[in-house]
Amino acid sequence: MVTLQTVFGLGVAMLITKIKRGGNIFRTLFYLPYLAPPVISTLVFVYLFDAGGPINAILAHVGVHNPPGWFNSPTWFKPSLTLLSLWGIGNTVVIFFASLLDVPKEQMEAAMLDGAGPVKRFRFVTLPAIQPVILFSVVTGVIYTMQYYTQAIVAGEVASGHVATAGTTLDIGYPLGSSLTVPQLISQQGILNANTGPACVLSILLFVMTMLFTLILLRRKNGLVGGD
Amino acid sequence: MAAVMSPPVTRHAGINRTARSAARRRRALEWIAVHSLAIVAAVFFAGPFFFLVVTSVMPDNQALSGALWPSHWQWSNFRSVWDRAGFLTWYKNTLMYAIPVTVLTVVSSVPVAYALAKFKFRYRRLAMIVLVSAMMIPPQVTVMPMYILWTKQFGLGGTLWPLIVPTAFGDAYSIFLLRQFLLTVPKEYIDAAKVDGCGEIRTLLRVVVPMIRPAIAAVALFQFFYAWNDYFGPQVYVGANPGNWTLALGLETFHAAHHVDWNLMMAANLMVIAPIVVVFFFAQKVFVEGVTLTGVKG
Repeated sequence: MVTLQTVFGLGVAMLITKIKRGGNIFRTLFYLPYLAPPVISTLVFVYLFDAGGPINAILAHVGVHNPPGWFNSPTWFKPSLTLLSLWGIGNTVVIFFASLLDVPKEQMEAAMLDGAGPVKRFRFVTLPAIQPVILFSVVTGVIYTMQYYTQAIVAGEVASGHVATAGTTLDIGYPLGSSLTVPQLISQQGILNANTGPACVLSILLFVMTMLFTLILLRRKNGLVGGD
Repeated sequence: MAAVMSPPVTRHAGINRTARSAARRRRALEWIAVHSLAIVAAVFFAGPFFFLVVTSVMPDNQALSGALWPSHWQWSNFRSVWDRAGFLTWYKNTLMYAIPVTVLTVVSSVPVAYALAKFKFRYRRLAMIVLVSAMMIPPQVTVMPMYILWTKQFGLGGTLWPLIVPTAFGDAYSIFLLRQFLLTVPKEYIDAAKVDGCGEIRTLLRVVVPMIRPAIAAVALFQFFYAWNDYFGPQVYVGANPGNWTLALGLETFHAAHHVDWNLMMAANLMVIAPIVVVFFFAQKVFVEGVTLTGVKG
């Protein structure tokens, strides 16, 4: 998921740098989904991919008559969620876009004069220049994915049709545990079942994993803590 | 002579012309490629919004059919949502959560960020490391001890207070963003204020705060939206107490046991998302600058 997010985010950002007219509208458009409350974006996506929803209707028009079960199928649940996360990519795009504008123009021109094609220019000029930003977005991406909670639980609840009251899922991890994430397990065990012990163990586990990735960021020479 | 001279000239011009037209053709192709990709991306990003709006005005029987366009526009859906028991209460609760959180975060985070950016003291580096780590810790890691503290010790389970009060003690992400911005404020201004006889607090309020207004605006907006969108926090503390639900929790209830009022749900979604969209259009620059500040310069 993080890989896709990074590649897709970078792609969209590069696209924006190429567009001269209407770029502003486009930027607004891709940033809005990021601001949409996760509950809403999830609800909208579950509706879109519902068995009788618009996506399947469109698919039927182009001749796909047995579409996958999307949020109701253990195999397709995660890909559907990934699609949802790609939709909310605005933040990453803004960061990449800003860093692409900071790529030194002189280096680009020098590479052009030396006869480097677009692929080589990207590989040897653009990538090294934005490398720290990529690292930042990958690490934060991994950390945010580890705390994936709202989207997974809302999608699972609504797709399964078991929303008794918000917060008490009858069918956690629907379908077949494929939407179960560590944070969900923590709140399920600790708050609904009052199994404080196991929940704390899971919290520590999550904490250790998060810190490992945070260390990567902190170890950078010109890191987040530097500057005066 | 002229006759002898002319062929090379024309040939030269010919090469030039073909080269130029090839370059032009390549640029045209690139233009087409970029713009068709952009259109595909635009459809991907706008599509869900399109269906959100279109479905919200569909009649009841049509919303379950996967229809792509409403047979007639049923504006009364919004009325039904508005009149639905609870919706106004959720709106009020969400505001009662989001507004104090925003104010408290700004008031508490600015002084901390100022100290971290402009004061020299021992363990400042360590303080920054702690801050960045705190920023990265998922809320679910700290939820268990916090939950036990707030519900068992203070007996505030079922209210939104456990989510509001902690923001009076600073928010790691906001402090970080403000601090990054404060680094760009020249020290000379602060020194000048001191020379003119301002104490630390007056320097902060009269000189520094006006200079970092864009960053403060960004932090306030981010915090407000965070609270507005928050699902996990309210679920933990008020999930069992529907009277204190926020919008994020309430939205799910448009889903009954065996059927979904998709049209009403989308209408409700639209009413929750609308304030965000409006604010965003007015404050777009603030957002983009805020995001860039933490990501690129970080």
